[in-house]
Amino acid sequence: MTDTKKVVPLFAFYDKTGIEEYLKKQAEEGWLLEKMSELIWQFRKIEPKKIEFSVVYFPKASAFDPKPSESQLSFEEFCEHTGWQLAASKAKLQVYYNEAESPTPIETDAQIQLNNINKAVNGAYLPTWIINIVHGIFQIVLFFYTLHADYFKSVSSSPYMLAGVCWIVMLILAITDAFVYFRWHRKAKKYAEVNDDIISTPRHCFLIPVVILTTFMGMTLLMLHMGGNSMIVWAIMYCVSAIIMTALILFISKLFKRIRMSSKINRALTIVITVLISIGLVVVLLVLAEDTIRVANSRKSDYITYEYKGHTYKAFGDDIPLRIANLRSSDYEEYSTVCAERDSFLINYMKATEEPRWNALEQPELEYTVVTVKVPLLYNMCLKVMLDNFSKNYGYPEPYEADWEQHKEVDATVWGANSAYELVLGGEVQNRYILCYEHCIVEIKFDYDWQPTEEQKAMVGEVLGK
Amino acid sequence: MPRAKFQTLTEQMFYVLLCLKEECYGMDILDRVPAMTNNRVNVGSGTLYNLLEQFMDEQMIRETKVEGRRRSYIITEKGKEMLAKEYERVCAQMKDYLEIFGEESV
Repeated sequence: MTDTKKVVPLFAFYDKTGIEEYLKKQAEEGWLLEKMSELIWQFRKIEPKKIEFSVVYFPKASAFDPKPSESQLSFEEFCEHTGWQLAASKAKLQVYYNEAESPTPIETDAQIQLNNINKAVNGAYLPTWIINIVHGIFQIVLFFYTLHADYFKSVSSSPYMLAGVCWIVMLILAITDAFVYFRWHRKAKKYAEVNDDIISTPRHCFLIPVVILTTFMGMTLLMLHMGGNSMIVWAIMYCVSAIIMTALILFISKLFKRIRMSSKINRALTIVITVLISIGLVVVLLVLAEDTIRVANSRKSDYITYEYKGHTYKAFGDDIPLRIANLRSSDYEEYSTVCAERDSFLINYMKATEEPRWNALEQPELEYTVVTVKVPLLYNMCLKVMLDNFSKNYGYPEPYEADWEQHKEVDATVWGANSAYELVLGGEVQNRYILCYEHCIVEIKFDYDWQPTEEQKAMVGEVLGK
Repeated sequence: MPRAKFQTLTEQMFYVLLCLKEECYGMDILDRVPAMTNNRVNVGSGTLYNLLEQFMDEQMIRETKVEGRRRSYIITEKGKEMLAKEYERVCAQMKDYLEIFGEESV
């Protein structure tokens, strides 16, 4: 049987009531708090007994103090005088205990007590809440801006979408944490003015498990979805790096305390080091990620090079589902085929092109995009984006005419589709179509002089529409 | 409406200042107040620590001796004025009470 145990506390910093009740229960079960660190509380074995606990907030204390200050030691002596012993402390949060029955509480003036809690919270958490909320809002605005700017690139990236969800969750949690505290403080202040007593602190320890669960589910979903050993390794590296970085910063801060560096210098240096390590870590991970993504997206097939008018060009041989040869007979066999695919848990986005070499530009070319929508709710949005971008890369006349671009609804049955749209610009058919199938939307572009026949349309639907 | 700081004194504030009519160690106030009031009023150690700091900031008391962490205090003229005002206020309340309920209620 061990004489100590360690627990990960799930209490908000200001949850005085919750912490006291918990410690009281632990003492009745034979455990007394002896040490508090950033993440873990350590208990030692005692005889089970009833002990009174008092959580005190000492605003002058700092996590960067090399040792307890004189005022803190004075305070401790005052408490000892009335039988209260210091069990453990973590910067501004201090836990005292008293084995006497009905001891005089450490705090007998509710307004002074509330004032100390507020000062401690403002010192320890208010800057963090502000930074988290501002940063969270910035990230979410950036997320939605990027989503709007390049919808398919964003939605087809699982890491990107999960990052967006995580930022939203983190913002909600930061706002909730701050809101719950300030609402309690306002009520407690009014109550204290009338009753000279303090109301129980709010419990929202569910916030911490929600954060942990969200992060865990997000990372699991990410790793399961992305597949590819290199991406899994990258995701693991990210988690391990974050843990190492946190441990390193805590170690450095503790080292500064051990060498009796002043609190102000310790805080300033720790902040600088944290920022530098964070930037360094982000840079390293971005470089590695870019490299990993480049490797992951690198062409599976080889390419060959050819010369034309003094320049060297590449001809790729990616595997694509629909080729010109499936649609029409042709003697030309030197097409370059390129296939780029992005896959997320929301959509699969595949773009394929088949182009002749530069020395055979009279040959037809083919380009198509297939968006497979995995979440039905996104179907209409995907269609809207594709229709909005239908005439992308085409020039507009000056001055712009409102009815210059038209999306003409055409017979879909010949395509085997539910609905079909044809791009018409300035009254001219562009041989560019958007086809809506049950689970996917296809955009296909034929050459300007290639009017697809009914058989070709049926073949497109058969190959791309399933 | 919240009370302005020290506009009126709580019982704890009153008795702490009363204890400091004579020079006294801060910690000793924790024993003097209950003794003075027959255990009717108790000042928490944390509350006393904060009150002494606040009284010092408001110059209602001053330090007379520092021996390591043990500090002695004594009330200042300003502190005596605040105490006197509180005494008059309580007396006025008592007078008003007696006028309404009469001597026999005491």
